[in-house]
Amino acid sequence: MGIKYIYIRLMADWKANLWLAIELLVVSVILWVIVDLLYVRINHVSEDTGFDISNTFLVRIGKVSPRAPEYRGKEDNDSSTCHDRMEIVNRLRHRPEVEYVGISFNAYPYDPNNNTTNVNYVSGSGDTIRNAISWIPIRIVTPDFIRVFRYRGAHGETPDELAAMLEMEPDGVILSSGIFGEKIDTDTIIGKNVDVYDSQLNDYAPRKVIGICNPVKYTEYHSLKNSASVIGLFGPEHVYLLQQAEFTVRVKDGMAKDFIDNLMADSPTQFRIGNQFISDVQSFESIARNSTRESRKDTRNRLVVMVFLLVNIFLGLLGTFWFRTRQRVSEIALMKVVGATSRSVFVTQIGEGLLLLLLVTPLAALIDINMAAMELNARGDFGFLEWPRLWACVGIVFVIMAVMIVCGVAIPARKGMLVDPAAALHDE
Amino acid sequence: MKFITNIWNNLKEQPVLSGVSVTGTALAIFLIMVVVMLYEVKVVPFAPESNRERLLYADYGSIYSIKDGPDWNSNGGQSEASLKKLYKGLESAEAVSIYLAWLESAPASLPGQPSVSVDMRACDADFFKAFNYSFIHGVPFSESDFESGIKKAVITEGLARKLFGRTDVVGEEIRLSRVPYVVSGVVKNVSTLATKAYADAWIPYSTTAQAKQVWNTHMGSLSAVILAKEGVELAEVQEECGRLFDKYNDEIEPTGWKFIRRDRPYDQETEAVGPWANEKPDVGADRRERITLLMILLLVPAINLSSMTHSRLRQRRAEIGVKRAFGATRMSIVRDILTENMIVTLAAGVIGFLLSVAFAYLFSAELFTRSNLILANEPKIEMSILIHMSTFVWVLLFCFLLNVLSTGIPAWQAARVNVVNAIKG
Repeated sequence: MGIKYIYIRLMADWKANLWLAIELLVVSVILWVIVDLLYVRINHVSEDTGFDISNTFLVRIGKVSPRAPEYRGKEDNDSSTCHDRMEIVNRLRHRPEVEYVGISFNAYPYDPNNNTTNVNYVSGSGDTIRNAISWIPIRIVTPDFIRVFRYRGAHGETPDELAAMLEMEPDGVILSSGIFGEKIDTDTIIGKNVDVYDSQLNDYAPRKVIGICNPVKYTEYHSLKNSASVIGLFGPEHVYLLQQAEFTVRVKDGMAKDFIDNLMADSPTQFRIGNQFISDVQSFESIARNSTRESRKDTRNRLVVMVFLLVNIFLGLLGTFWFRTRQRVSEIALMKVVGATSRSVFVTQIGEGLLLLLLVTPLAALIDINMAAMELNARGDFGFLEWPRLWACVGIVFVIMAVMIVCGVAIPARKGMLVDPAAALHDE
Repeated sequence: MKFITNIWNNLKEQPVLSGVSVTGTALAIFLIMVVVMLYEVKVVPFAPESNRERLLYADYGSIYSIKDGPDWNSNGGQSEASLKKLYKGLESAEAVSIYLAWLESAPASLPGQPSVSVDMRACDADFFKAFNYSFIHGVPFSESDFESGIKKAVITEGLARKLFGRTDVVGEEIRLSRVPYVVSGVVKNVSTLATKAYADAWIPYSTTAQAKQVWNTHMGSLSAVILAKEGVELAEVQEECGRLFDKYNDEIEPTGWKFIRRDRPYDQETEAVGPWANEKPDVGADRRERITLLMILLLVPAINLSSMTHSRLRQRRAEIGVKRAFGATRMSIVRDILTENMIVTLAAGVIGFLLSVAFAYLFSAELFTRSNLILANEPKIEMSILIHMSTFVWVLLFCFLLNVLSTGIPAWQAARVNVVNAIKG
């Protein structure tokens, strides 16, 4: 009883099998679209984010409205506001549970805002590579910000070592490894100058590359390959940004639990300077949850559709094979009379389902390839049609569907195993 | 009755096949109805957004400097002056309300008491005409309160209970963002699913500083919502908006700025697609995506059920043969099979529909969260939000489609049976 025999049986009942084949084909293609997207997503989520948000918090500083009865003194000006905000930061630093307080501009993980810049590199021969990279996020941060989120160097530098680089050379920039892609090896440019576009000057300014760090992603759902950035120092010249700056805190291990409640309780007394006060504290865990909600919802919805389709295959095969077993009782009995074992009867039925899937899969793969060529699937790091990903996903879909087929056919096939030839052929 | 008994007996003939068919149908209708409900809460009217069919939204405006050309445009909220000129004069509108473009998360408290975080909407007095709030106590702040910048607020019963422990708090003072307001009215809680009407507290935007911000001469931080007069087509209102728009653009030409229309204001369906300021939401793409999903959820089970029906009808060859021998036409046999199956599909559809309602209740927080907005309240589902006349129409329609798709071809094949062969054995 080889494949040929199973094939003959399949063809003998081709009308009923055609329905199954169409269903398997449609489901295989839809499953491939879903699996393909999940494949890309799981790949991204499993990559290193480049930051560590455990025990970290975002502290928002608000100002009392001039219409409120508790408004103090005359109208605030920029310099008094900045002074008051720095004082709040200093007081935060002195809280016993606080390890570091970072100040930054459009830089914290999951921040929906960003600043971008262009970077040119002047090669040894003196040729500038214009716009060597453009639209690259630039994160303006204090050294403690690097310690808050534990950025790491590309050569294993600790957050402290990376922060020290910025402290020693305030005019320098830290670049992500691989920022120039294939064009330039980032290791070869440490200590050299790059031209970084400065929106204040509306022109390029030379900045020394003082270090290379690991890429830092926006969120875990982003691709590491597209997460290069430039890190510059939030120095005294950025004080004017303090009104829009972000204040982030790393709390010592084991002290994060009541940090928000305690800080908010002390906010009216200890953290009200002039008309500035701590208005809100959020843990980065909850910021991350909110920020990735849409991606998680989308993943979950796709999984639901996937399970729905698989249940349909299961039901379809269960129903069809149940009916078939009943119809074929005498045939199975005859097979047993001429020497087939219960096991071989079982295997033949499962084989029928699997052979059907095997026949359909090349056709499904052909449709999948066309869909990838038409960019109807997920975009990976190297585009839509990536052969290794395509075959991997076709393979995964085949395995998932095969498991469902075995489950669906196994129940009626077991019934077939139990056919008693004497009783079944009694009438003949 | 005999008809139903027949169907029941037929189902019992093949318990496994019948069970699988009913489960498959219920499952399909269940998922389809979840998709339908997720869409309906965005567009079907429910209180206080009971006039969704008559509402038009102008969340944002788009403007460019004539000097730089339209490629460099700025998009966002608009200034009070612009909105008044663009929409307040509409003759086809029953009410035009202007409000702060974003919901503010603000601390609410009683003087000297700890605060709770609430979602606050700054708006004008017409906001309470555009939306149908049910006032438990008091009234909204009036047009003249608004004009004079008097600090009155409308709050929900939920917030009143949190602050005072009771709801009859009209005339009491509360602090919103540390500023004192007097409560003028208390309304029933509003579900977060009423995207525009939702808030915990409403204050006159004339009492806030943000509403007065102006940039690019004509842009600001305000939005508008228009309630069309009863019986007036929305297209008419939009046409009138176009005339006011052109007039205003002529008026501001000397200032060096020009507005881009982007087909604003938008009806509920367009508004539900997306909140972007710099392009018109693509209603067509959104529809296509939804239809594709529904097709998948409909077609796969239909193919599946087809194969089941095919098997079931093969068992009934003799019966069909006899009917044909007694003069039944093919069409009448197809019709009988379709009707028979429709009853089963409907029964399974009801199970699926009930499941989807239960599911929506149980998982409302997860299902209906509004993208990445962090709101002070969880989305709350009520029967009036979830179930409408249209919901039943959708259930019937999808059951009918599923039935025709899954039974049509097998029924036709069965009806073509050769009479002699069928009743031979």
